[in-house]
Amino acid sequence: MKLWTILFAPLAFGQITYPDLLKPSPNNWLHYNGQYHSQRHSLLKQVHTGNVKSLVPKWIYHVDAARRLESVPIVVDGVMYFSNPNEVYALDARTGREIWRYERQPALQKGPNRGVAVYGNKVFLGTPDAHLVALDARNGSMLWESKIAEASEGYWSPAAPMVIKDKVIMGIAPSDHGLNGFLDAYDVNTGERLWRWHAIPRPGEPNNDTWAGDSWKTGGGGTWLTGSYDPELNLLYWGTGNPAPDFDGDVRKGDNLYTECIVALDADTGKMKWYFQTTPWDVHDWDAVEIPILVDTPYKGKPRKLLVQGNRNGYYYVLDRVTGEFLHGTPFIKELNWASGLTAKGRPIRVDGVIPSLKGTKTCPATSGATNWMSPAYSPDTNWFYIVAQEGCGINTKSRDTFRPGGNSFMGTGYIESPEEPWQMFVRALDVTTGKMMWEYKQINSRRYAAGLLSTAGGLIFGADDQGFLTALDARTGKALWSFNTGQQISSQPITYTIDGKQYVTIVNGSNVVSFGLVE
Amino acid sequence: MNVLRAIPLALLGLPCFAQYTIQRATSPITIDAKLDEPAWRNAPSMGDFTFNWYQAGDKEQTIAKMLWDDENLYVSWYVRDKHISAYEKQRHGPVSKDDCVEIFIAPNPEKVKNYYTWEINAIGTMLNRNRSDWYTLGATWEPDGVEYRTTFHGAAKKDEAPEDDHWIVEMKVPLRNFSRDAAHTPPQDGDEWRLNVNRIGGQTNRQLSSWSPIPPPLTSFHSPEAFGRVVFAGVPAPQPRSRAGGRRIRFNAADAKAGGEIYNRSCTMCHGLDGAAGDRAPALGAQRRYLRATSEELFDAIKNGIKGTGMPGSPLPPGDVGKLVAYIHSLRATAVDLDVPGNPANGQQVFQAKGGCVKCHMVSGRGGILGPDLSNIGAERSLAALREALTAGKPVPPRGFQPVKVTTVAGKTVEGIVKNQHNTSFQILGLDEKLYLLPASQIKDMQYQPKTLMPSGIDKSLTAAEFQDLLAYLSRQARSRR
Repeated sequence: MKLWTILFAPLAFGQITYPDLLKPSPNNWLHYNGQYHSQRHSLLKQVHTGNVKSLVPKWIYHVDAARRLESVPIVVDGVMYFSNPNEVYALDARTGREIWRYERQPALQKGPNRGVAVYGNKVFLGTPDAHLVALDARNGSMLWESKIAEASEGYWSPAAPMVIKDKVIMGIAPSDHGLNGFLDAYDVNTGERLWRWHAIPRPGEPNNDTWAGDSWKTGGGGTWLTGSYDPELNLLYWGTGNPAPDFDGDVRKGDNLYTECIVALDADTGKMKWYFQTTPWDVHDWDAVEIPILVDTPYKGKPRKLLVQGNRNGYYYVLDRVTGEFLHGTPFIKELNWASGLTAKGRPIRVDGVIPSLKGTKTCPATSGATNWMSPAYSPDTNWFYIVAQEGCGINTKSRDTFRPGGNSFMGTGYIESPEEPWQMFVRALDVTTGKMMWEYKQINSRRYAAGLLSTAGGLIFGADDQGFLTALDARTGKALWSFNTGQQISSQPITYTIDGKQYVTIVNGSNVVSFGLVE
Repeated sequence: MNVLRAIPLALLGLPCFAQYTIQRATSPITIDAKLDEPAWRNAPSMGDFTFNWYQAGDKEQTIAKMLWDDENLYVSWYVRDKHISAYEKQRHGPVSKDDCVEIFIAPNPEKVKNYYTWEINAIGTMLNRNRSDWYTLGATWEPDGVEYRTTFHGAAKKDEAPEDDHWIVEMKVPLRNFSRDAAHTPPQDGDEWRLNVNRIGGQTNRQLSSWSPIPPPLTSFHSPEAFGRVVFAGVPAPQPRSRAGGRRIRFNAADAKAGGEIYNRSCTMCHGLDGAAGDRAPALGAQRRYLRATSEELFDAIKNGIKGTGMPGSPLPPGDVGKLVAYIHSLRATAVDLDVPGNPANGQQVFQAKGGCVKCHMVSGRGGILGPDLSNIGAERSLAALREALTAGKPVPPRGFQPVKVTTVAGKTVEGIVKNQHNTSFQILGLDEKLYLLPASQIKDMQYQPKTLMPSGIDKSLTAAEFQDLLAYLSRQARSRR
């Protein structure tokens, strides 16, 4: 009977409920970052430090149309859902066999797409034409679609949605076009918009005066990654993107709130409870959208609800997530020249002159950032925070740009890799409360962003690189225990799941989904 | 007549400025200053450059080419050059003192003075200027998403060397950079832009040459009145990736009706009545790849015949041929293109109640999942195909809808349809609308049912009016095209 249950339980479509999302079975992977707290730590331990060297590919699913997949698969009771821009695929997670696919017509070509969310019997997808689409999880039929914003103005929706209670939380990617960002909640059943939080305060609202003149009108502040959620506090935590124009701060003097912030919003109303700005008056395009991880652990001897983030500006931040109070911040990269430290309130102490210039200014980290969209991980077993870090610098230039509607870029020029401080990728483990580096793993010859990280109770950290390798590291030592060349650059985040009592580890590379399991 | 196009050239006594047709890229293009893609090899050269202000020295030629796709404009320069030098490294610096190539683009042919420049030296320093009336701030601008490479890209400098022979620039400019001025983004077949492509010869043999000639008294590349004409062409018919993306053929219903009468009078000696197959020629109501599809192809085939076949040219006047074309299109039209008579609202009732369709089929998010989603069926099928599906049914179950009855090793029975299958595993959607993912090792017995779950003879279970209403409802199910 037990065998029957495992091997032949009809898949529980329509059964993903809010309690499931609150406490996902470790056999499933229900959120972009595993769970609402975004720790990307799986309790699965069939694959562990002792046997990971026996990990072998079990199946590969190839996506013909893919250019560079960045989707993180969702796994629900043996069915895997993942996306390509305008497309969703449902696969048998045991075999990689396709069950159905959805193709949006006509397909606006703008990428990437970072994944879907699943709730009830629905799959939710953001699209390049800035719509939120709900599909029937059983056959891919479109149930409803809701326009988030005008694609012709330059808005698009690359982020994986997040479902909380009966709401789909959805961000937007507008910043580099000088469009103002927001975060939305939609009714899961109808697609009706329930609330919208505006990332840029309008005249009469608090902090509109952090923008000189009318500069708030083209202020930016995208929400292009997925955030985290604390069900007890009923607070959503989301990072916001850069101000616009990205590199020319002269035309937008002030702190430019709420760009480059971590904000806490009431999940029912979208009202902001607190904000913490990592880079006031950013001129380096250091979006603060990096995944905020929620951790409950003693801080200076007292149990505390923490929020930690490795920011693109090079600092690792520890906040009290109840109040937004800054507790601690320290660089997680060695080359950082734009600030000499943080004040007691966490505000950076800027180094004079490290701002973009007409001739170019050396800036460390580069605009590509000390880290970026690749998800970090946290292991409660080690109490360490794991992050993908980029060392190196950029040369940043500025120009005087004019906002042009219609999705034109509004950047105020850009950056290049510094010829003298070329980029180098690392995986680093930090003590979660102090940010002290415990170990690092240099990804030799990897210079560009690739995959995020996955932590497992098997004592492993899975990471990947721009050369196409998926690698398992010992979570305590950073020693590489296993590696596999998938043959193509990886720009997604690893996940793990169990079906039929077998643990799989899955990575999406440029045009394939590759699922690994122990050799049998 | 366009003033800018006509008068200055008449005044200058120039017969015509240069013209070029920009073809669609036939393969992906990697920006690497190699030009080794089939798309570049197949692209025609823009033609010899003119040395407008020539005095003395070698006339070293430049081979420029352009391509486009839905997202980008591509430009390449193959520059013959025995003396290659470049030193300017500053973004927007004076690159024209070096060996340098340029393209000046006016996306609106009515406003050639609104133009944008890309000026690139041999080591890959770029200057972008704009001379547009709406863009008031600054003489330079930042194009969005441009990728380019030169043979000596990124070098600190390039000194002349004995082995100097040629250098290459390859550039990709997203079309959105032109959306402010262009008539369409991406351009449509036949859209015209004005532009010039230039080359400057550097320190040694500093020749100035351009694709479109710049006649005296003009003394500068910044002479938009002499820009050449480019036309975007070669737009292939959109290739449907699924039936939902199928092409819609537009026709005039009155012409189609008149064409039907002409057809039955003039064509049925060989083709069958009403578009059916005849004794000597194929059914024109069919969707066959070998059949002429576009209006132009059909018109040509009727007017001039088809060589090597029995199809003769027709003596009918062109107006009647046009009506025949409309009629043939109507035979091949999808249902939504026809104003199918009947009451769609009643048809929806039939769909949901008496017809029982909604048990298996979904429309706009409501209904069952065992059958195909019909939300776009009017844009995917002809009226004849809809009628046939409701009356005659399918001879064999279509892929993805094969009914099956499975007995597992554990003794359980599952009935449903096969979504996907292989020797090793089966993905089955049960009649209970649950998904069963079965490894082959778990299956003891598997019976494929010969007939689809879709009943035939729907017309017999409904009144004639109900059936027509159902057709009217289904034919109108087409997701709006944004």
